[in-house]
Amino acid sequence: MSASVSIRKRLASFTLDVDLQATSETVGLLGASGSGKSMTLRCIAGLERPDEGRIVVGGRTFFDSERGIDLSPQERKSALLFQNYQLFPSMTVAENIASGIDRAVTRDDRRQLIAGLLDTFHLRGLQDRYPAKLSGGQQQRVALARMLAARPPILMLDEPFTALDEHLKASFEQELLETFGRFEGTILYVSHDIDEAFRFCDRIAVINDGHVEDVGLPGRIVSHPQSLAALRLSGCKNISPATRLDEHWLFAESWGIRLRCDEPVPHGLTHVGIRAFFVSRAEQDTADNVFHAVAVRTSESRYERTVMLAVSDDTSRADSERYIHWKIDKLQPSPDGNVGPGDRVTIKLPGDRLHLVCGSAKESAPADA
Amino acid sequence: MSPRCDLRLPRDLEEPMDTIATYFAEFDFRPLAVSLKTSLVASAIVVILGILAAFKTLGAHRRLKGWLDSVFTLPMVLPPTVVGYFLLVIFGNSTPIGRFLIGHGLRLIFSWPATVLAATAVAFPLMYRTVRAAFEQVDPDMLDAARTLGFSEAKILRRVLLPLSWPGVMAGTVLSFARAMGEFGATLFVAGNLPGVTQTMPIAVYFSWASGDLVTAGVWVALIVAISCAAVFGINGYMARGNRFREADAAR
Repeated sequence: MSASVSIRKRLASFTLDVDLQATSETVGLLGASGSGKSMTLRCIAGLERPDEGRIVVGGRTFFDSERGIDLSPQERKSALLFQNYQLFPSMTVAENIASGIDRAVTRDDRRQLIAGLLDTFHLRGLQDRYPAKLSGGQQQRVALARMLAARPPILMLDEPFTALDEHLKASFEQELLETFGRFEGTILYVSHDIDEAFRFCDRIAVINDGHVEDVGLPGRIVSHPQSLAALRLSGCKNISPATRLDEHWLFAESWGIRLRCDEPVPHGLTHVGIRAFFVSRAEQDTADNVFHAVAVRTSESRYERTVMLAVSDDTSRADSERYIHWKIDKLQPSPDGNVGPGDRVTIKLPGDRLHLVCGSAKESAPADA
Repeated sequence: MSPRCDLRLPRDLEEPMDTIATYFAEFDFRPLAVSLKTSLVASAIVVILGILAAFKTLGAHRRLKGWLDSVFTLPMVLPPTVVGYFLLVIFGNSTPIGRFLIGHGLRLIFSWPATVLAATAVAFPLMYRTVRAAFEQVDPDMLDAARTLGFSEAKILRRVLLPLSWPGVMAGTVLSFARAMGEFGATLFVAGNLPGVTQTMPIAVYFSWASGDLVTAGVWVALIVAISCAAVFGINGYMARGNRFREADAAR
């Protein structure tokens, strides 16, 4: 079972142009809000009509503009899982789960199927409740059970964790992973969260402005992002427009510094990034990629603290662009732990940890998420 | 009050009671029957047409939606006499539709079905607008979710939209019923004032007043006010109860 999507659709703010091939695997569609990832799911589900292209799922052609094929959402029956679940408030849990079951299924099979799903998703005893009486986590599980009961040829989930409380996420994660493991077919998982995508997906497709900019294994997307959007979405906090100086040197405009990069600097370089975890305290005072900086602000979380560092005095740039985020692990005893605002520090931006991306000028616009 | 007055009271009352009894014994109640029959049939038609029209416009494209919306609302803003005029233009005995109906044994104009036609025309926009407003409160994503689960459009209407819009549907039904019962101008135009056939209560009010019978006019006014109040208070009470699935579990 596989899926092949190649569609174009003109939209108000951009043109959706998605090419995606998937086998029996979980593919994460990672993108900021409004990047076109939900629209892609809607096109596959038949809720939106692409201007042109082809959608084939599990050997069945859903859409083909050349051959004039355009199956209705009912015929595709993709049982898309919406962000807010969209359970039917006027139906009980059991009725909701049963709502997508094919009419050809006999009454006994239907009952068995529902009972099985109630068990799998720990909903036993709740079958006669209405959705308004369920917790967020229970609603989530009903939605998942309803999707599976419909036996869709592809699983499509649109940010299933968004509406869920933080403490419910962990327990639901395991159920979702098991569900994915049992499903034979393509799973498309839409998210804007790299950690989620990393956990659930075999591959990640980075979507920006309606285009798939980068597809690859989650590890590769994080270690070698190929586009500005991938760099941003993979959680890199320090990103600056950059220009190539020579084979190994570049200039980072936001920070006003020259950086030496171990790998060759490509000619079309537009941005450089370095993850906040890889910024470190310098041992020597003068060396390549070592800079004097002033700690401006700190922000604490449970196990780490982030120090905002100003490396240049150029105040014409917005603070958020100018500062370098330095993340310190609080569990490791180190003198860095007590760096506070106003302190002067010498930091190193390791040349083997720099991410170099070549993107178009348009992509330098700040992401909206 | 003096004791003398107390003694005389029963005898004083006897006479007016007799008068009232004789008055109502001779009273022509047929307008009440005509009105109830007309409003019930008209609101039944309006409920079905209004729901279907609201459902169709909901799924229509934006420009078509605006156009349909205007057309469906027109009878509400036009004077009823104008609606009556147009009904005559469309259904009059010499028009193609009128001749077709006559050919099939229905002489519509100045017959009882014409009261239903007039009441339907003026009550329809109330049902349509109330139901459409209720439909629009339902998240479009929920309808899309239903589609991807294989629901046909009819099933979406029946299982998703209507249960969620039930208070709006009820409100629209009562409003349409009350409006149909209060219909005067268009009815007079297309159905006339035939006692026992097309004479509805509002028409009875007007003609008894015009002939100087103020008491009869007053009786009809009181009846209309009573029925309308009952309908409005009834629907308010019903709506205050809320939906079972919002309030409680099915198990309880």
